[in-house]
Amino acid sequence: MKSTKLIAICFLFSVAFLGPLGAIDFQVPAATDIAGFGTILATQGSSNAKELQKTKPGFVPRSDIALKTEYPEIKAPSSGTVIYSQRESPVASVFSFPLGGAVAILHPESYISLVSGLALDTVIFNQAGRGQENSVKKGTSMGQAIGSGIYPERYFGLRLFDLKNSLWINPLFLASWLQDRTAPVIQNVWLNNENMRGNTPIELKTTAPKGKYIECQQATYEVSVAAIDSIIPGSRSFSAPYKIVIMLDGKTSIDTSFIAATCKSEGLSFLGNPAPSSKAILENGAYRVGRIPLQRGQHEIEVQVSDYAGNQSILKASLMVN
Amino acid sequence: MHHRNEMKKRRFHIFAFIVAAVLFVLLSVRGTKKQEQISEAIFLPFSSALDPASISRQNPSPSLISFLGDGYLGYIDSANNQLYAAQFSDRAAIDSSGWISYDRLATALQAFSLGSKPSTIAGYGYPWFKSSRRFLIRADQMGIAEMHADGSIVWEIEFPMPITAIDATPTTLGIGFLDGSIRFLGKKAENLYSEPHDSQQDSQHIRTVYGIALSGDGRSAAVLRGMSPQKIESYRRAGTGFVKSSERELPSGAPLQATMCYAEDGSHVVIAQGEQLIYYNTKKNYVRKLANGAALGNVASGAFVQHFVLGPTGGNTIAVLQVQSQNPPTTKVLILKHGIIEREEPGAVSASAGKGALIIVFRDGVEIVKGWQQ
Repeated sequence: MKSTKLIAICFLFSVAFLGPLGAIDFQVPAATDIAGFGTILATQGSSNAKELQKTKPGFVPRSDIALKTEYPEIKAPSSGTVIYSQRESPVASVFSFPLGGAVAILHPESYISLVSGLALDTVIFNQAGRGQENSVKKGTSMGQAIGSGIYPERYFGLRLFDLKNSLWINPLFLASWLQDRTAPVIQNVWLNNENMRGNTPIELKTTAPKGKYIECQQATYEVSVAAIDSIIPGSRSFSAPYKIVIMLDGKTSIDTSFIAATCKSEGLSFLGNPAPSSKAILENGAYRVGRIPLQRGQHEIEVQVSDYAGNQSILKASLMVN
Repeated sequence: MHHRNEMKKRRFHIFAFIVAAVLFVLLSVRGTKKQEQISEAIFLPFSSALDPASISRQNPSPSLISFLGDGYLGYIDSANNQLYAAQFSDRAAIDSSGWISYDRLATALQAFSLGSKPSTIAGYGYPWFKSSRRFLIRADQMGIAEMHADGSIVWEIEFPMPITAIDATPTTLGIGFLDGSIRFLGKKAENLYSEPHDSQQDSQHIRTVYGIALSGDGRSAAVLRGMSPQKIESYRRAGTGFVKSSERELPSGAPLQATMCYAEDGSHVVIAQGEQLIYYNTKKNYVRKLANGAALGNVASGAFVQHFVLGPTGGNTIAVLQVQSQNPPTTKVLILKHGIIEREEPGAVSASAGKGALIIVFRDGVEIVKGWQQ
């Protein structure tokens, strides 16, 4: 049932939003663990995420997916031309870039895929290094995910860029093998009065006993949602959820998702927030999802958080706006 | 009478020619004397090195030269023939005021300042030091921050594309990207020049930037970009920005990240890209292939060779690291003078120059070549 839902979502996504992406023959390798698109980058393999909240570098949503596969050999996800490769230096006296061994392939459908965290196969590297034929066929071995760059052993990164629309696309929509049975977890939802900066935000989860109203002032509120999702059942990584919808009095007020990140001159835009991507996250790790105006009176707010398979968690609260 | 004058003239010409020839020989001798200024080479083993923590922050020796080897880093006091060295287990970056060691996963960034206690830096990326400036390249290669010596952030900037090439001077930061765009930023990350990817162009012709180099004075830049053909493009400072001044096609290109740098005198750029080593004369705008595999220096047949540009070593010389992937891999440092081998140091892993000395770093110690004037 869930698989059928997933296929339906993938289909709708392909047709409605990404059009030609549906035509790309792209194989996301089956994974045993995933840190998904939009997940805060610094938490993957980083032990100092809390300190990072004070200093911004790395505390941003990720524009790739980090996958752990059963076998270390990583194959080309689709055919195309190698336009870039980087390798870790064999000696520490030469600087190596954080993505480790990486290969970028330009696909005929005007997409670029970038696979990172590999120990590149000498064949691929030699081929490119000697200026020979740079085309690769889908399924060609590119390297081993044995720990390269910032990726832990057996993990590697995969990102996909839509050249025509200047978007970093969530590659999980091309993972047809995905079977998620657990709904995301809503950790908390905050309403922050935009005109009263410095005020304590209203917490919906901890201050919303059933049948009682949460009192607040008439204003426009910024809504932020802390939620996590486990994409692979039983895996150790938690990811960002896919979709967040805010219903106010039965009507959709906010509908946002990690479908893609838009490229701007200031960086990346997630969830409709302005670039750079750090603007999509609060210091506590919650996602900024949008704004709702609250007029005087009683209101019912419903927060719906969904994953890629359509599993949904809901948080409801009653508001009394003065 | 006329004939006598002609003879006199001829004699004068011959005399002038002899004088010119003597002067030429004398000047040539003087030119080679420069080479002879290398007075001595001293090898200092790591086993006899002092702890860099003993270097006083208040009174650092003016003759200290920092070095980064393969497992060891530290400073050379070339005036007193003293080696200060510390071991690092994974990766590190060093400059005159200290160093940061870090692990591959970027979870433990330890800052060591000369004369101070070590401290932990919170940041998710790899530290990269250049021209007395400290940067943190974000873990996803899509952002960069400049840091103070204590690790606090001066500024941070994000890009919509992964960084594929980078170089910095005290005043300028040059960055190249996967989609072929380039940015030159000033000291406070202000935009000096940007060349965005043209999305209207044929999307099957991405001109990825493989390498970027800035001249020491920050007034010139060379960019290695594109495939079929791959080109070296030159930029020069104009007012507060940059303008493209020339370009030169390479005989063959590879889609590999490159290391490249200007010679200190700005006369040329050396580019290392996988096996290839390329010389680009910036004044006369021509390129010359120096190596393709086994062509430069003594290389075992069948060995896979990689070259890495280490940096300028004064005047018109540039240090290059050659790694042969045999089992185990062997290393060699080549000091190239206008692309021609000036010194070959088998077993060396790094080289740097300063204060009239050339520092060659080996796995077991450091050699100081004194009187290094190029």
